[in-house]
Amino acid sequence: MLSHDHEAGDALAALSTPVEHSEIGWSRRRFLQVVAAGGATAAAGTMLPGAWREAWAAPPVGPTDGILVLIGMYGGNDGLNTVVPVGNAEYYAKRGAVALQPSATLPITPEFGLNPGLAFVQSEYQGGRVAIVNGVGYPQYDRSHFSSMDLWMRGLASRASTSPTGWIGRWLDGIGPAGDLLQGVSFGNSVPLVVRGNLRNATAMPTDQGFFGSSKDVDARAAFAALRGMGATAPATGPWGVELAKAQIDLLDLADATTPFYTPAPSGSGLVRQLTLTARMINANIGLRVFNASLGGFDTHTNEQTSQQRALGDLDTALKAFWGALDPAFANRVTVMTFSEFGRELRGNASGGTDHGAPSCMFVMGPRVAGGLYGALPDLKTLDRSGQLTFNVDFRSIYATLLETWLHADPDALLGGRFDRVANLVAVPTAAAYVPGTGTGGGGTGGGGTGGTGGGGVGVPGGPPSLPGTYRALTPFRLVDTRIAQGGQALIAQGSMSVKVAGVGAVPAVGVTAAMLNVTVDAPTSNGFVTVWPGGEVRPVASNVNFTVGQTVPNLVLCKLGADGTVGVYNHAGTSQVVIDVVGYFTTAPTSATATAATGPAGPQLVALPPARVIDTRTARAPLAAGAVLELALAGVAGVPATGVDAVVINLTVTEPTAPGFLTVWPAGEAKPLASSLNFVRGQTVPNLIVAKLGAGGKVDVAVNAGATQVVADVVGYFAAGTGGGMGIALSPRRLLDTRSTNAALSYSKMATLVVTGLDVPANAGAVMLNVTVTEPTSAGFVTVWPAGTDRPLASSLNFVSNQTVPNLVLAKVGAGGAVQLYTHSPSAHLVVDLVGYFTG
Amino acid sequence: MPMSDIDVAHLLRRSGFDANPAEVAALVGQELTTVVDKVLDTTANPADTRPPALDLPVDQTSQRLAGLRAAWHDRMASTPTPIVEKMTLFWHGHFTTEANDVYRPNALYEQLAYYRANALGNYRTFAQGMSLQPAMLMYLDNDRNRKQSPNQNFGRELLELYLLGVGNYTEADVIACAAAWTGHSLVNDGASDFAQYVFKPADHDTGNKTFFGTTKNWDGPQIIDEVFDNVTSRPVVAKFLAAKLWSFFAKPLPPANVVDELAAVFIAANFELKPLLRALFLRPEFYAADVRSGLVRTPVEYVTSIMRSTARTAQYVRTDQWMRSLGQELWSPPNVSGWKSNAYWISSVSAGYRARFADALATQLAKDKFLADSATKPPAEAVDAALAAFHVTNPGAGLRTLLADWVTRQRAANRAASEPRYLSLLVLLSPDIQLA
Repeated sequence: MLSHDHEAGDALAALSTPVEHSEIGWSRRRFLQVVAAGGATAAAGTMLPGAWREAWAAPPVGPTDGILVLIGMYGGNDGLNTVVPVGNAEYYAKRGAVALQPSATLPITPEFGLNPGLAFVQSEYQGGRVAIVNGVGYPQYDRSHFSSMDLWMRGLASRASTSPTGWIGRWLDGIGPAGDLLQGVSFGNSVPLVVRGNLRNATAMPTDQGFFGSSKDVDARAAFAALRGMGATAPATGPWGVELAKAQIDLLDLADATTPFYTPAPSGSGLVRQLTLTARMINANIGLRVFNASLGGFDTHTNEQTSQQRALGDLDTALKAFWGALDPAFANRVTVMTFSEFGRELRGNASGGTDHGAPSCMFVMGPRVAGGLYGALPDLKTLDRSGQLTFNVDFRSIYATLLETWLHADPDALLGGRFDRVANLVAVPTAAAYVPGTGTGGGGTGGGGTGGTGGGGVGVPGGPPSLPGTYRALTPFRLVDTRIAQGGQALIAQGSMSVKVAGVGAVPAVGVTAAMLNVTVDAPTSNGFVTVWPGGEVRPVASNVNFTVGQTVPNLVLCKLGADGTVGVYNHAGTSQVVIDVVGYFTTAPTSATATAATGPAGPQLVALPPARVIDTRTARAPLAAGAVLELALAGVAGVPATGVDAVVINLTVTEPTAPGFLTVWPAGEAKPLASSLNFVRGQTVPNLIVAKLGAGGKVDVAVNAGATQVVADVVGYFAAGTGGGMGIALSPRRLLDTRSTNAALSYSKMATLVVTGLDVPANAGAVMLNVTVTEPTSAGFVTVWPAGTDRPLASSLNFVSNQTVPNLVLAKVGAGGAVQLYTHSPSAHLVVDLVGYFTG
Repeated sequence: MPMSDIDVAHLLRRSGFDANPAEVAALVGQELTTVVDKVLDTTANPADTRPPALDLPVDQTSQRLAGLRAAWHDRMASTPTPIVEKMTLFWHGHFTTEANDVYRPNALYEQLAYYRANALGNYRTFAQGMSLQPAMLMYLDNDRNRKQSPNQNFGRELLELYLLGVGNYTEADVIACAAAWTGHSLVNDGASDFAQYVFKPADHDTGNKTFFGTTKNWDGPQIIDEVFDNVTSRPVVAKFLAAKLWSFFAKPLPPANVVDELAAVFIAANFELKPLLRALFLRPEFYAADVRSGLVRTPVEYVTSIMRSTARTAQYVRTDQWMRSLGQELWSPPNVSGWKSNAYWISSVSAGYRARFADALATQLAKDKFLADSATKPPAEAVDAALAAFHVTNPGAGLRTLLADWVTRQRAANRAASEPRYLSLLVLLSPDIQLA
């Protein structure tokens, strides 16, 4: 007898773990990131010592990444009364009073009718979006709830295995891009076996209200800080004390990250709340790929017709709410799979119910699913020695199919053996927006709406895009310097701060949609990353500046502003000093295309150019020394018009600096501001994208504060009034490329062509803003990004030395086919590319 | 061997719910056997009184259930013989019952009283009586188990979860067991919330069944006797319970030699429970560092320890409001296998509910002047007083320093007004108090 409590799965899962969790297994979850090679070699991971892989490897869900929603139906769902064989006389003869009469069912085919609780499933089936798999089970079935659910959750070929991991947990272990705490979600009080891995677990989330720890009260915050401190005092209490302290620190982190999902509070039945939260988190696109929900009430020993219809009705209501709440932009990347530990006996018992049996049915549901019937109804006349039905589809075949097609993993490795795939069950995920009501019918592979962004209202991850706007370059203005300002409060690990941008310095208080920020991290005590995101929104799992311990790293950041005119700044690990200069902003001022008498004159617009080198001090053998000013005439060179130019976009690189220091770039003729465009330490090669406002004579001045350094500058675009330019639109980051996930490093001979238009970026985009990170280069070198269909220019978007990890914001003109090309000047290097904004052409 | 304060506190916490510093001081230095015998001495156990809430109108089931739950919480928090309530809690998790399925407060109380009365009695007797409790007959559907159409629910769990464990019986044994228990049913009158065991001969299968290889006309109670008497299953039963008790009182995954030796004691004592518990508490392994740090307090244990240390009632700490979200509402186990241990209670979600509970309680306590004089003491003394007030024995030095530093900073910032509230909260959320 199982509880009707929807959290029954928690206990089942815990019960299914025959050994205690070792403290090692738990602590690894956060402090040890393993790099899986992905694909066919997912099981063979290699360590990346000392670096937070997850930093830049925690992307929003990619355009072809599948999201899997599991719904566990606890208690042993009766397959025969779920998908009722209405034409089968044996069913009615053996089931007796427990059988559902044909007239009571919802017809789907001449042979089958659905349980009357499944009205929405019926309509989705008719729309071609539900695969019903009959006869699912496994050899040598076990009729204990616990043993059988254990086998289903573990999902291994060997039933003798006592591995404390589940099939989805092992997949989580192997995905290269992994967020910190929110890799996968399981609703309830504990983490079930199915989503436990060796190195990573899904995060347990409540279904009623958000996490404790979101109070802003001063005393409460001080208490939370002390609570975090218990992470350090806990070792004296032993391994479980450490885990308790860690869970509370996780809790405080989660409170910061997830509060918006619980607003408004989810309502409805347990499963409706779970799937409502699931839809909200998918829509927010914070990188989650798996969700585990659960529903109880299927152990129908007595009075089955009433109780099973109620439970299936709960499932049906929740599925309807889920697909209704899901953003169409993501629906083509979502598949739902139901499972239960076993089916029930063919024979009805005298209590109006059925006892534990063997095979049952499964639903696989979504726009990319090829709807229809799979598997077969077991032969009801041929029962085994125990009077049970015989399965014809192994449940691990469903797992293998979904792992391979939907989650892009190696099923044989994850399941520990080979299981047949179910042909054509589901098509690969696609970023095309799903247009409801245009399903292709039974057997089709999905929902129309392919190509373009569809529907005119495609949701952009992390909230709506900023309004199109024009760009205003500024003389750099320092917003934050944690080293000296306000008592010098460096950002602590997992700490974040809110930085006001609108109304500060020369930035207007209203009408500002996004800001161009130069963010520098200095003297970090750990390897880590900084994330900058729109204030008030959910912090995305993404990175803007990656660094290793002690390194000084700058990066230009294009970030939407929150509704309150702020951006949030988050430091992932260690203690980091952060310096932020604002160098420009986007406004809602009209463009040349939209300017009218009422709106006033158009603002400057961006024109992207193929990269062109304008200075390389190494060729002149004259490094820039402290005290000197390098004046660069930019108007009228490298494609930049001689007049009417507001600012020039330059990729600036220093190399061979003789002392630690920074470069400042400012409009010629003005006083040198207290700001840094690019920070470095001795001997370092560092690139950074600069938006330089032009001063007198169309020139900018460049100076270094200490020592001497070589300077290389490439012009990549400019902002000018008039026609021909583009409006800027800042996006929440979306990962476009991660060569590590396919283990396909780039090299001299292996370039990449990246189509950048598509879901977020319209076909008429003139340029895209990309945050490009190089990692694991086997030599010193550089990366060039340039428009597809043109010759590779002599220019660098990003410079690196052997084994360095370097990020840089790159402004890239879009070329033929909506694509850009990437060249890596190295025998081998991995590239990670995030799209952060674009400019209309 | 004279006991140290650490060992005394450990024994009191595990055999009961908390370690009162005064009680620890009184027992320090006494012989281990003396202290264990004191702990197991149940002569002071108060008479079992029927909770008055049960006599509310019959249809007020939820209020009656709430009263039943509150009464047990209060008894755990106030009993002078905590071993009785701790073992009763163990049995409630072992031979468990869910109120959602047995919506009969009278039957639940009757079962509880039975568990309490037999808490440290004879295991065989206990198992026999347990099987005939109306709450159990209803919970696992044995009241509907008839020879014409056997219902295996009780028969299966009797072998799998209660007596033997998976792998120590066959599917054929389950079928025979279910058939043997046919006809053991009850008379059930919902209008008066009255239920009583009754044997219905017409529903009983009198045919031959094969159980453990013996074919005969088995009856249900004979199955239990066979499990205890059969030379193969007898040690399995003894080890199964010895291991479960060690996991409950010491830590999960007991060493094989400990299980074997405790099982031998259990069998030699003819399945009397008190000698088994005595042997368990006398084991040197019970006092080893890994055992001392090896158990997380379940929510009931956590809340009971706080009720005892602060001398508050169930009504005050609002068990009615919190126990379900804390994950351990009485008579609402997650399923037939009862509650789990350690990792089961540690997640960001359970931490969240625990923190909300602690926050609400700390706020209420502060309103009622608990720790009100804290700010008059030097930081280190204020911290030690708070830890002692919650019966946190032997707190870590690191925790004391951390809390004292926090007190110092808050006072320096002129934020001492909230010190009692947040000091309570921080103690309530320290790992030290969350470990059993």
